[in-house]
Order: sequence, then structure tokens, then C-alpha cells
Amino acid sequence: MNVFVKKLTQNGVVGLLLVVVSLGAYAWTFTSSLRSMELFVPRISLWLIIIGGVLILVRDVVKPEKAEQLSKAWVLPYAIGVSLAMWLYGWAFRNIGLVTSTVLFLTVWWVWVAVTDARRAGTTAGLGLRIAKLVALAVAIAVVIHLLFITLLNMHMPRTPLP
Amino acid sequence: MFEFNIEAAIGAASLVFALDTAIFVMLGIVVGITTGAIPGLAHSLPIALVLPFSFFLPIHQTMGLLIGTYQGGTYGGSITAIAFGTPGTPGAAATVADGYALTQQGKGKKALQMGLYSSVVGGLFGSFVLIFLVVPIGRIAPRFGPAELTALYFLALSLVVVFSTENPGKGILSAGIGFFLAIIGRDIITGGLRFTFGIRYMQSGFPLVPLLMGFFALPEIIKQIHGVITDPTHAGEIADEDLKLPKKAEQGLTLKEFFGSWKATGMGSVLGTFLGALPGPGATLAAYTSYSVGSQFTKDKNYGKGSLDGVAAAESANNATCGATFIPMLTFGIPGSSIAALLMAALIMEGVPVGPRVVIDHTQVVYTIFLLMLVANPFNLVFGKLLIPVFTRLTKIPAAVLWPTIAIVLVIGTYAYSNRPFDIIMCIVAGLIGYFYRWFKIPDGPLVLAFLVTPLFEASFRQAITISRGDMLFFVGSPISQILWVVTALSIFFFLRKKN
Repeated sequence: MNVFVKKLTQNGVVGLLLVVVSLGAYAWTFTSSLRSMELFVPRISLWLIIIGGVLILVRDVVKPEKAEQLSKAWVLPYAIGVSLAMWLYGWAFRNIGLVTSTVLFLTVWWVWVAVTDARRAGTTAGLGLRIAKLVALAVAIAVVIHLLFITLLNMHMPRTPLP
Repeated sequence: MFEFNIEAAIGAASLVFALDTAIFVMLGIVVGITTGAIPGLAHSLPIALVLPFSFFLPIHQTMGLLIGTYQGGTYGGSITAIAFGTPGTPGAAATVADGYALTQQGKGKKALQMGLYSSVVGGLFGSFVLIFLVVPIGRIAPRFGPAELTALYFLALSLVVVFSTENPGKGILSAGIGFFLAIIGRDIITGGLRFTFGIRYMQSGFPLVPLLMGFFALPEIIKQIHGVITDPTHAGEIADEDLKLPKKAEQGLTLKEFFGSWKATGMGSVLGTFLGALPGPGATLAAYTSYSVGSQFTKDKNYGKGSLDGVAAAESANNATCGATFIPMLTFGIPGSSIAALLMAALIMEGVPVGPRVVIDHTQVVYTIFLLMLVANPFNLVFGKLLIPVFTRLTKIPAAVLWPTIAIVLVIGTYAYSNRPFDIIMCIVAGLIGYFYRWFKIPDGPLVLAFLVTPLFEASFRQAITISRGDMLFFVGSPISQILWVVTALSIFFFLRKKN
């Protein structure tokens, strides 16, 4: 068993995980209070996931050379970070206003990138001017977004003390 | 059988040939070419971003905007493919070999113009086939009963899995996840709650627009922002020396050269239309198929090393899929590609129940789409020709500026759809699923198709079961369903045989 698992690439491991989780979900449907007809398509979907997972696993064992190369870059923290930032922005424009939150979001992001880039390059010459331009751009984008969504499309904005 | 509805046609013409519609088509073309010309900003992403506007705009403006974005984006991908060998969209990848080679030989202007003209020819051909096929098929479609529709939806799902990937397991997995997401919410017959996990907002199902927006846009945003943070050179800029813009003095495409490639353009248009009408293949496969078939009969010895035939074959096929992809969608409610699925979502949000009766019940809407498809092509030609230098410079927008802006538009657009903060969370969840798809190299087509087709499939299946009182032979009772099951079995058989 150990040798078998060691032979698997990331493809096979993910396939195996999907099979296990879907089998668990499939077994769980038998404890559900839903009627069998209501569970028919959900069970098909789980079967498809199981079949897909098994095929990925089998291919990984039989033809490992054909397994797609998966990225090894550790992107999960970025995925979580971007998701959190987007949720935070969504919260912010409903509570402090669309223009205010847009300017803040873009300015904070761009200033951080500009400062990081300047540190990497080892020079801060012209950084102030660059930041000023970026803030002006953030204001311009915020105004365009306000005009588009609030003025033109009349989007409803609850609890918006600032514009 | 073919009954031309003159009232609907006049109504559609009065909507399409109005200034407001023209403005939205133009806007769509400009947005489409612009985003198509920026590598990474593939045109399913801008269509997903403009989708919430369908909630605010009347149907002709919405469809004008979306069809313009679609057609412009399909052509726009070829600009960067020809100018510096980086396809803006996956469909333009087949154009790179000959297009970029021509640019390096100092014939970039000819290549760009051939790309534009063959795109317009392909687009027009696909649109005319759409017009001539949809109404006759649409009039037969309501005769399909629940058993035939179940077989048809099964065939569509099989085809999209068969065509979508080299790895069948990943295609099936993708369809399975799409099925699962689609059944969340109330049961269509009993009203029982399925997999809502006690969340009230989930009772109406996984929201369509947040799903599509997050699934297509967020993975690219994460990837680009990761690039900006980790790699200082990842600014989205292409150095001036790599950007070989055609010089003003450079000779353009002559009529003789354009008509000299008529075989490649014609073959690409026919192949693109055929493949575009099938659920699954999409623009990328159509362009590659046309490009490789073109190599068999062209007399140009430079094919693959800088041939106008190569550009014409790939680009005409690429754009011919635009019209053709509407054929299964407007006749049976089966989107032929991910982008068709986005357009179908827009129609659903406009209150048009896309399915077998759409041609009969919403004739004017169907005619409006026909006319918009035709009208978008000349706009594509004009804007494509005038603004090539502008579009090629767009690649210089720094990624650090572009992608956070897209992120905020994604959040606001999702919220604007129905003013529910919960939709933003669902958009993020869909984006993380999309990111997993991208990392694990799972094709997105089966998920989107399954998500949209599952409610139709389930309704037909359960209707058939009720009518037949549980007799499964009912599904193979009629000649139509027998043919459909045989075609399904054959397509799976040939697919498995080819793989082995």
C-alpha cells in the first residue's frame, strides 16, 4: 500500500481524495431525509465525481508519464489573501461608501506594490511622484465606477454615509 | 415548416437598427478587442464582468454589448498573436505560427489585415448558417418529448466531456461537479431542500451570475496578483523591442492576396461553423483543426513559417464558431461553449427561458440575436482596422494597475446583480473552485454546461419517469431517442479508441 501511494503523483493523490470524499458523500445520502427521486441527480453527480477520480487515479498508475504537470508554486496564501481582500472591499463599499472604499482599496494596494518595487530596485527616487499619480488614478477610477454603477445603473447602496 | 414571422422581424429590426443598440454593439466590440488583445484577459472574463449589466439594460442592448464583446474578443486575441507571438485568447493560439512569422518577415500589416478580414468572413458565414438553421430546427425542437430531450442532454454532456480534454477522468469530474452545484437548492418537483446546509440564501440554488463571474475571473486575478507580488518583472508590460508594430509605410494586404487565400478562409469558415455548433470543441479546437486541415491542401510552401493561408484558416474558423455556438443554445438550450453559456445566462436573466420552445415563444428575441450577430461583424471590421495600433499598445498596461481594478469591478458587478452581500461570498467560492480547476488542469466547459443543462435534464428525466411509470425502456422508445443514444455511444467509443 505504501509503495502504491508513493508511486502516485499529485494527480493521483487528488483523484484518490476526490474518490474518498465523494464515496463518503454518497454513503451520507442514504442517511438523508430526502426522497430517492430527489436524490437521483445528486447521486449521479457523485458517481460522476467518483468515476472521474478513479479514472484519474488509474491513469496515474498505468500511464504516469502522461500525468499533467501541476504547478508547484505555493499560491494558496495568495488565493486566500485575494479572496479576503475582495470580501473586505465588498463589506467596505456597503458601509463606508463606494468611492471612499474604492479609493482606499486601490491606493493601499498600489502604494504597497510601488514601495515594494522601489525596495527591490534599491532606489526611492521618484517614488513620491509615482504614488501621487497612482492616488489620482485611484480617484479617477472610483469616480468612473460611481458614475457607472450608482448614477447610470442606479445600483442600490444601503448604509452609505459617504458617497 | 419554415414560417417567417414578419412582425417579429420588423420588431427586431427596429430594436437593432437604433442608435442606442449601435452604441452598445460598438462598446462591446471595443471592450472585446481591447480585452482580447491583453494576454490573460481572455474574452470569457470580460463577458463574465459585463454580465450583471443584463439586469439593468433591456435585452437588445444587453445582447448587443455581449455579442460585440464576444466577436471583438475572438478577433482581438489574434492581434497580439500576430504582433508579438502571444495569443490574447486560447482560440488565437493557432494563428501564432504563421502570423508572428509574417511579422518577423516585415509583413505584420498584411498578417493583421488578413486576420481581420478572414475573421469577419468567418463570423458572417457562421451568422448566416445560424440564421438559416435555427428557425427550422427550432420548429422541430418542441416535438422532442421528455425521453428525447433526456437523450439529447446526455449526448451534449458526453460530447463536451469527449472534446474538452486529453484526460477523460478530468472531463467527467468537471461535469460531476457542475451537476452537483446545479442541484443545490429546492427540488424542482417536490420543493425539498437539497444540500443547502441550512443557509437560507442557498434555497434558490447556487446563484448563476456570481458562479460564472467568480469561476472565470477570480482564478486569473489570483494568478496575476501572485505574479505581481512575487516577480518584479511581471508588470504586464512587453518591452518595446518585442512589440513589432507594423510601420505606416509597410504595404497592406492586396485584394489578390486576400482572394488568393479563399480556400483557406472558406474551409476555415465551414469547419469553424460545424465544430462551433457541437457542444464542446469551441474556438480553440476549431482553429487548430482548420489550421491542420489547411496544411493538407495549401500550395503555399511557407505554411507554418509565415503564410497568409495559415492566418486565414485559423482566424476564419475561430470567428465562425461565434454564430454557430448559438445553434444548440437557441434550439435546445444547450450552450456550445463556456462563452455561449455566459450568453445563455444573460438571456435567462432577461426572462427568456432558453430551451426547445424559444424560437416559437420568443421569436423576436431570436431575430434580434440574428441581426446583432450580423451587425457586429461590420463594426468589428471598422474598429479592428482603425484601432490596431491602439490595441497593441494596451499590452503595456501594468498588471499591478490592471488586475486590482478588475477585482473591484468583479466585486461591485456581483453585488449589483441582486444587491446581496451573500453573492460576493458565492462569487469568491466559485472563484476558488475555478482556481482549483486551473491548478488541476480540469476543463471548465463541462462544469458550465452541466450547471446549465442539469435543471433541464432533471426535469425531462423525471417527467419521462412519471409518464412511463418507471419503465426505463421509455427512454429508447422513439426513433429519435434511439438515434441519439447510438450517437452518444459511438462518440464515446471513438473517443476511447482514439485515446488507446
